[in-house]
Amino acid sequence: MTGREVPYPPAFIERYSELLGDELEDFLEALKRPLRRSLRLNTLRGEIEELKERLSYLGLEPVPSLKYAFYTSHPAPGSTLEHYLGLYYIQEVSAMLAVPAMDPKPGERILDIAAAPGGKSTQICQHMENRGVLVANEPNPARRVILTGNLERMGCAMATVTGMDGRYLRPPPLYDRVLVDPPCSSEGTIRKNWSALVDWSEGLHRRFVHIQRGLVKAAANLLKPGGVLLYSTCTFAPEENEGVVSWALERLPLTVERVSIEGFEVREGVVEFRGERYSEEVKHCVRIYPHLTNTGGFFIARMRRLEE
Amino acid sequence: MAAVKEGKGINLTTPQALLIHPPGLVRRGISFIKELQRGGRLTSAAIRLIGTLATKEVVELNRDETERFLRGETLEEYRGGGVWVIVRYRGYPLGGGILSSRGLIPQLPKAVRSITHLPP
Repeated sequence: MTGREVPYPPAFIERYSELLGDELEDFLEALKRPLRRSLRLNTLRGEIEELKERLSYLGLEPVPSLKYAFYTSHPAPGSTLEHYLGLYYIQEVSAMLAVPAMDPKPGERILDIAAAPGGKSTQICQHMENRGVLVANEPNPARRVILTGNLERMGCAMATVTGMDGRYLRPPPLYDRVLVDPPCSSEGTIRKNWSALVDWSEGLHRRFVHIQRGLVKAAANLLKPGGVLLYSTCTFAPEENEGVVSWALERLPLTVERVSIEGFEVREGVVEFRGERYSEEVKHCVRIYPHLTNTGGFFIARMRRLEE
Repeated sequence: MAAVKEGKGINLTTPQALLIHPPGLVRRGISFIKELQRGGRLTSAAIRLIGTLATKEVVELNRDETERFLRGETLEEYRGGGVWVIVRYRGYPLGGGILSSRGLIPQLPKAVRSITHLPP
């Protein structure tokens, strides 16, 4: 039995039937379809047009509204000389949407609190043109090696690597923006990695919520007044998405800002799931569904630390 | 850009990065020079950064030579007196090599083994 013949767990179908209603069938079918390979041209290594020309043999097709993002038809984009030289980074399209939503600017101080393997960290460095500082934090030593390798490969001189459990990072509030892309149940990666479904269980998300809340709390306290906290996951589970945002809004000096994603059909955050009611403000968050965008699944919330 | 001592080498970072001291610091910036105690040598990251600009002590390979070089073979076609050189293919900096009396000896990181496709 191949990975894609593994049946969906009944509990998985029941959960997402409640969330998606008559879109459920399209959603489940979309999860079975192979994901298109995509990559991000590294503007730290050259101008987009120049890179596009050099890499045209990879069969590049533009991704809507992300000027450096392309689908590729090359069978092995991770095995090319240009990949080794850091001319591009292989990254799923939905995952590329978080950093533009955070909108880091050259000269700022940014923290990526759970940075490995480095897709979003290297993307941040691109947006900031290697000006400013990015603290790329990763507590797991093996994953930190991968992170460091990717930062080097992509030429991210502005990156400083640290090795703390992000939940225990304490003020002073140094950062203009903090990215919290925490460990999660990864349901949105099923198209890329069928084992995310094989390993799925009903209570899986409870394991992650505790960590996610801890990271968001630490991040809020590390932000300068008026700073931006970008919370993103690759799961569909409301407990790990709107639930964490709602929890944060009740306890931390944060407010939610509307996320605008151009070129993709997205859905707003849900305010209720299985009897649990969330803050109305979560409607400003964004849900990315494979059956609407033909990408992986993703969730993005943009919050701002209130001015003292 | 700013330089910072990192272990036995020098890394390249930004001036702003030198102003903060986050807890659990592992490293700043990207490696640029290694083996300072032996006179210093450009790292692979440094070669990626500036290798296309080098005009001296550069060896340009053809496709067949590049494939052999990336496999770790010493290229007997190229000989010298022990000079360290930057090695390129179609202008792309592959890494470093030593031009010895036996030939051009690759000085490449393990990561080059991931390369199985050269540009057409």
